[in-house]
Amino acid sequence: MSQKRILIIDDDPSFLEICSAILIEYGYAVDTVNNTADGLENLVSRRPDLIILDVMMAAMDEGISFATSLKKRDDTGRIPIMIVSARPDTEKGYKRTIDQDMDWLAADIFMEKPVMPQDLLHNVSLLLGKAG
Amino acid sequence: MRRFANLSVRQKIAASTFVVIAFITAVSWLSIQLIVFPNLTRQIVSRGLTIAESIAARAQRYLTANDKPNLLDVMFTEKWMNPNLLYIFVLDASHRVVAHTFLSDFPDALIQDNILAPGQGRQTRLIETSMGSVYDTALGLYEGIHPIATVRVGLSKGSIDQVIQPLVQILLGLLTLVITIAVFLSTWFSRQITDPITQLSNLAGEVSRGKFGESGNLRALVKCWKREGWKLSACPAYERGAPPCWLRDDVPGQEGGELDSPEERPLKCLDCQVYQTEAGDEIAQLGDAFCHMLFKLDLYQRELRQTNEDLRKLNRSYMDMLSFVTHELKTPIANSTMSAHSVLQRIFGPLTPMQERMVGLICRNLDQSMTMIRNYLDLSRIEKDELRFTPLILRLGSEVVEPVLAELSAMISAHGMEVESTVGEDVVLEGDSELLRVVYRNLVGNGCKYGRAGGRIRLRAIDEGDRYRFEVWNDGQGVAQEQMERLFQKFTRIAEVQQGANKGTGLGLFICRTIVNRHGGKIWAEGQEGEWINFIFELPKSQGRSLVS
Repeated sequence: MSQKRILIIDDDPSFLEICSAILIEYGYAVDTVNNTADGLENLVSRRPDLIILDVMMAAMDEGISFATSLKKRDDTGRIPIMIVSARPDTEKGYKRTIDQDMDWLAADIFMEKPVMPQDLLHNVSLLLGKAG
Repeated sequence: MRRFANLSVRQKIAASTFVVIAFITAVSWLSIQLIVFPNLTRQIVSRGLTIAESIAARAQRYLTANDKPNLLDVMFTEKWMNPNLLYIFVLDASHRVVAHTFLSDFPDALIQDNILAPGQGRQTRLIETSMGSVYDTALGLYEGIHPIATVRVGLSKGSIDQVIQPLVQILLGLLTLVITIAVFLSTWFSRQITDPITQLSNLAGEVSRGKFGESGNLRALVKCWKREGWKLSACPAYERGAPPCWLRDDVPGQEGGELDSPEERPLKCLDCQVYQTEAGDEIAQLGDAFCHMLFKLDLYQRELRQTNEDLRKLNRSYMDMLSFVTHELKTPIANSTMSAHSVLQRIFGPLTPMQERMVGLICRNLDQSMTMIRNYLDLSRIEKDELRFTPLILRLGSEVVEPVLAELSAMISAHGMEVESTVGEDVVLEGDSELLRVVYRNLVGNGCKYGRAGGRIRLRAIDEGDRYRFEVWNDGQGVAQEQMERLFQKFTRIAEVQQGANKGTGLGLFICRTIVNRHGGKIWAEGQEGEWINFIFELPKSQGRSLVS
């Protein structure tokens, strides 16, 4: 089984560092970028198997609109996306469960910070297994 | 008397006036009966006697002397001279008529009506005859002790009636006049009192109903009111839709404090040209005082409102700051939590027992900080009224209880707690899952923190028809009965409970109560101090929409 590649997009360098350290430790290849423009470039050049995406970056819902645009494209539409947000559901700006919103919310899994390492690893392997 | 007290002022004045008029009437009538009438009677009686005496001398001579004088001439002369004189007649000792002034036959029955007793000199009686009521005076004539004649003079009682009748007529006329004037005066007078009082009482009613400051007319009255008769009306500027005169700079003394000072010249509104302190009688003074009171109230109310608004802004800025700070704190603490837990889970290699202990300590402290941050964020959202409440139909077991227990599993096992949950998949209700997770996170978290180490936490759901009753029970120290209600207040920390346990924010149960209330439910605690405590909350199954599962 070839090494799975994960792209993490977050404007918080600490999160990028911790998250990538954990995932690398578990044998994943990890790329980190701190904005969606670099993320898009990486997607085209490196073809990751999974994207971990923060909601709030430069703009309020940059993560969500980025995820939505990816899901609409033929070349990136099948890549699973895990959204990680510092804000709970009540502050996300929308209030529906992931199951109800799969059609418009492009996230496959939503996680709230702080993300527990075992939960992160569990969800990553879940999404990669499903995609694979 | 109580009935009188219950009458309106207008009715009281009318009733008092009526009583006074009735009293005057009674006094007049009594004075006629007791003074005028007896006096008139006395005059007639005395007149009858005078006439009888003037006849008597000639009658005696007529009966006794040889040269009999002309008796009838005298009698008729008297009769002509006195219009009220009905008759004169003279009887001899054996009661035979000697002379009389009747133009027709002498009515014999008349003799019997007034007969003197033997030896009696005079007597006047009121007798009824075919001529009407008559004061009949009998004067006895004696020679020595022997009666020789009786002179009888009859004067009509009608003469008194002739005097009394115009008197009564004048009295009645005067009374009618007095009553008319009194009715008019009492109506006018009572209106003088009741109209302004009614108006003041209506205004007071508006104020008491909390309409103060809303009613344009009332606001205008506060500082600038015009008196037309007794009608208080607003400043025309206000009625035109312009700012009321007391809010403008061009009106002198727009600060109401000056109204209190008697040395100041009266304040005059440029629009209404009305002096605001031109009190007249006591009622006008009352109106003035009332309007000034309203003005002051309005002033204080606006000050209060302003202060309130300032405080609200201040509070909001504090809450914004709290929200900002906790948000900012959340990111580094979340990152630290993640890295500390990854070390504790040995992702980066094995730990020595001491390293494990220390990292475990870091994790627990970070978890606690995270809870505090969540609570402060919730508090700032509650205080800013930004707690989003989006009820959806949810399965409480799988969507709320299980995720919370999974999230708190590390904490539960760290305290050696055993959690029993009977909240099954069949518990379906309309609620906000995220908010209900906050409730369970706080209640189960409290159970861990304040419960007996190695003890039990029991979660139950009981179907009660249109609502569910949920319980989060744990054994442990519990809380004294009198402290139960305080638990749900903001920043409450119960000292006994805190002993040996980590300090919380004192916000968790306040947030729980807010959330449960937002669902239309209620939350409370029951327990036995030193043994157990049970947090109970009831939630309606539906938030008003039909429940489809």
